[in-house]
Amino acid sequence: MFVEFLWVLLLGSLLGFELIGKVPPTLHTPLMSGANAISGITVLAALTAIIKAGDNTALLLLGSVSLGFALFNVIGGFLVTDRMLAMFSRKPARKENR
Amino acid sequence: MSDLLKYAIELVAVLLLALGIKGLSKVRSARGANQVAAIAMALAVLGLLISYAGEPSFNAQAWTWIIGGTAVGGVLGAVMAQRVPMTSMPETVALFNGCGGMSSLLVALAAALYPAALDATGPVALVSIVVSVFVGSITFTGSIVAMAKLQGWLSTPPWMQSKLRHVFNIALAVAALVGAVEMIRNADSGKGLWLLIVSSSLLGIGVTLPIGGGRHACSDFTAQQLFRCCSSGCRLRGGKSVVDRGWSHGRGCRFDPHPSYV
Repeated sequence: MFVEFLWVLLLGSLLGFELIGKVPPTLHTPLMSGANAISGITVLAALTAIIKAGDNTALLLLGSVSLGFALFNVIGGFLVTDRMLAMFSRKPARKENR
Repeated sequence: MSDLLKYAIELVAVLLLALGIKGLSKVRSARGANQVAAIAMALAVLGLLISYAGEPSFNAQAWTWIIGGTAVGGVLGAVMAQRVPMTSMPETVALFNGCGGMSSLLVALAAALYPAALDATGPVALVSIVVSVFVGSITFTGSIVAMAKLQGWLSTPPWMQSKLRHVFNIALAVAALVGAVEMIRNADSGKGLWLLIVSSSLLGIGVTLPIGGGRHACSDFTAQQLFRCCSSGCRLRGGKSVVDRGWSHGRGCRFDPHPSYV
């Protein structure tokens, strides 16, 4: 099982490296922001903690607070990235208006 | 059937996520790619909820806590993302990143405190917990310090720029290592856990606090300048945006609080 996890880690790292390879400097900040939003995938772990908690209130509370933080990251991150990228797409639109 | 559906959804989610990250590397496809990545995340959550649908502990009480956490975190995130001025984007991203770190720290903490309930037993789970606690703590405090610096709330104390900071940080790293080893050797005592949390949180501060005191200022403050430019929407002639220009001549710059071209 441990080896399996190591494989996933290795493949994930390689995939990330491959995907991020050649990025124009203008996109570094939105990419950072977008990748950061994806890192909020801990929502899954938080949800699992809540679902498996049963009647354990401390666990429910930890899971819920964690879910809140994760969703703050995810939703905020994607929306902010969208706002940044919307500024890039304004360029061609302006030209058409002229 | 439920299993098959879950695997199908997960597969599609992973695929979309990879496509999303790939698309983020080109200006033209970036915005759509970001939305694809967001859909992938939603699918992943949906897949998880479906896979636990039959679970007896997945009851109304669990839903209440889920909805509560979702409402608070989601609404705050959405409101903040819309309201925050374009000039303070770097700080905002730092704050979001810190909250992601806090989230994984809390999950790891839950798994460390109640391993039986979360099936987090065995060496693999233990190592994962240790790594998550360490990374989560560093991410949280480090990002909060970064945010405070970008916001201008915090400046580097002089001793943090001296060689003394290396001693401080190495001592903290050693303490974190001791905590991690103690956690793995003696999981029930709980001492290792708290030592790891405290030392790696302080390490996050110790590593980020010197940044911006000297020449490192560039990368952060260039980002800030960049966004000041973006927000004013100004473009240089020749079709090249200020954004491109800002990066290319930002290499050797010092931060100027009032860039002349804004």
